[in-house]
Amino acid sequence: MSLVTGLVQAEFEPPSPADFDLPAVFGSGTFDFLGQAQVAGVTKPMIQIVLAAVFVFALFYLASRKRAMVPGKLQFAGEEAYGFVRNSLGRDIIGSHDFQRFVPYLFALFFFVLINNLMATIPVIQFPTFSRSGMVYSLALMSWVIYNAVGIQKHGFLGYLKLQSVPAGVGGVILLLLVPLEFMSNIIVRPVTLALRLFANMFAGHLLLILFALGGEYLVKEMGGAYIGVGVLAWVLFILVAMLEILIQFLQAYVFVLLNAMYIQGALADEH
Amino acid sequence: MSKPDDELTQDSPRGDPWLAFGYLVAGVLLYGGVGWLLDRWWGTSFMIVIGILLGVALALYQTFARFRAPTESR
Repeated sequence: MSLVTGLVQAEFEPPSPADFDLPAVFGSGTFDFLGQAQVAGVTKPMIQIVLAAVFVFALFYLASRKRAMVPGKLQFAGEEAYGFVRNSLGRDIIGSHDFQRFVPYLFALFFFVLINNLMATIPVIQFPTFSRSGMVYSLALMSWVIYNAVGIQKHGFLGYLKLQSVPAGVGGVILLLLVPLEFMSNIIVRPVTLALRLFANMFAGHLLLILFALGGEYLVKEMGGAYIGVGVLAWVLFILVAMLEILIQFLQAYVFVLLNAMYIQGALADEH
Repeated sequence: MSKPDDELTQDSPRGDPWLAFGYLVAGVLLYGGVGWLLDRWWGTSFMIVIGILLGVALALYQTFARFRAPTESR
């Protein structure tokens, strides 16, 4: 649309959120939902999320099948992975008294999120499942149900409401103003920020990779001349950012489960 | 087994690292929303500003309170 369009052969089209709207793999057509056209079919992230679940199940089923006293390689890796989640995410956060019953949830969640994140880097797949916000919101909804249910089970409904919305050590008018704030922040905003963090990291990381790859290609193929060097530099940066992404994928899976554990710990706490 | 438990209650986290962000979002949404409603009711245009500032102030206060050393409560 700009006046300089005529000067270069083809205008560079920057990557946009539309790049994340993948066409359906099976099925076709669209339907309207919440004022937006939705794909009526199975899309790539849907397949990925099922693949990740099957993979995590198969991996740890195989790792735990033999349960030998002297573990083989796979069993050893499985036990290390289990011990890592159990100790650093379960026991150290929730506390040695009641952490054990949450370990299966935290363990499954961590590896499920991790595999889904790593899919952004695995060749051929190369799409982060959780760059689709709906996927993350359902995980956050599950977390919300769990920590609230755990709290209500322990303190009773009113006791839990009091725990989550009445801060200790304040009184008078300021308490009156703080109660709605605490309720809003602990019950309503919390699942949204939990989901937002994972979604935004996966979305932004993938967008950045698209930008470096396509920008480099445009500089080399369309601009030419001295720009080729810059294009190659963009590709080098693409590789470096892709490596950084692997770190972020691991870190975000860890943080997501860490916060889940912290919310459970907060719901179980006796008082602030 | 009682000793690790005691250590844990002292070192255990008092809120997640994103607590401050949650408080700020909640404060601005809640009291900004109240201010906006009051604006519509009274036909004024400044209550939303007061509401947002009040929400931010309460969020900061509450964040400070949460991370203060728990001397008086123990």
